[in-house]
Amino acid sequence: MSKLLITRPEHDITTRYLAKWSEEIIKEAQAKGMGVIDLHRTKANRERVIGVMEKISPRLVVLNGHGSKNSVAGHEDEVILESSDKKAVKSKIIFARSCQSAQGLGQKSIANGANAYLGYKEDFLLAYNPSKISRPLEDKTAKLFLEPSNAVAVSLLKNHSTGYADKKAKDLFRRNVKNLLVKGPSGDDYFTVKYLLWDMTHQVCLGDMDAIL
Amino acid sequence: MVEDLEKEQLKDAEQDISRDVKDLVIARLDIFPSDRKIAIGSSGEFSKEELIEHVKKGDEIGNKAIEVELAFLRALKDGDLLREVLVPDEYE
Repeated sequence: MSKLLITRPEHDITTRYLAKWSEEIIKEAQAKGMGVIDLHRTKANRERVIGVMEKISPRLVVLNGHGSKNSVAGHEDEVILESSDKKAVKSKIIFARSCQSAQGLGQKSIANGANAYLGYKEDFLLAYNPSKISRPLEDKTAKLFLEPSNAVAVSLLKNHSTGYADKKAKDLFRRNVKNLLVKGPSGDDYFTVKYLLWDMTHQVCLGDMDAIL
Repeated sequence: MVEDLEKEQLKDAEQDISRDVKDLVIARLDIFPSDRKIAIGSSGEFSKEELIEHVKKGDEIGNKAIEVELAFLRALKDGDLLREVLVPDEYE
């Protein structure tokens, strides 16, 4: 049975939203009977992440957190995965919901033996309603962004291919854009259209597009 | 002498364009509601007013806001946006 490793740092508003919305991914994995290694808050540190990736070798790795071209961070922005981590990424399907990491870390991970790397080439933008920060799952503005990006991991957990997961997420971004355009400028979240298009455009699937768990 | 003059004119023209672009982006940010914020990676979270200030300053966040806005306007102009939304939904 393949396993899921998920990191959920939670030290600022963005990571809080990612952590809460990742609960859907964890539930989906548990419903499929998959073993879940959930590194939440302080557990989302480099030592644990690399240890789990190298020793337990989960097939699917979902990384939430801030990122840069060559790394993804965990709790309190500690770098948890970087381009030089060869052994850790081998034979993995990695989804990094973080800024820019698909540019460098993604390419390098594929070169280092990861099967696929799904992520964002540019900053991941997230609009939200500040009155909902204590209840991120009730934030309809954030849902426009996080439901589509969740679909990458959820599709993989439903045994779809990496290419399909990428396309499914982009289609959900597109559906949200379409609905907002139909409602027009008087709609509450019309202003998010450009940010949704930005995330959709910069989401990529590197490596094997036919990989499954 | 002529080269210097041309360089000067080019610099003025670039400054004008830069000013025009900033004005355009600031005007377009006006539809951003006051009760929403945008998180831009590890750079932080920004309200409309804060974004406008960054655009005026021309700092990294301001330039990112300009980049996003121009990417959207290019998608509109090139018809990419229309093409995107006309793709039938396979998953609905």
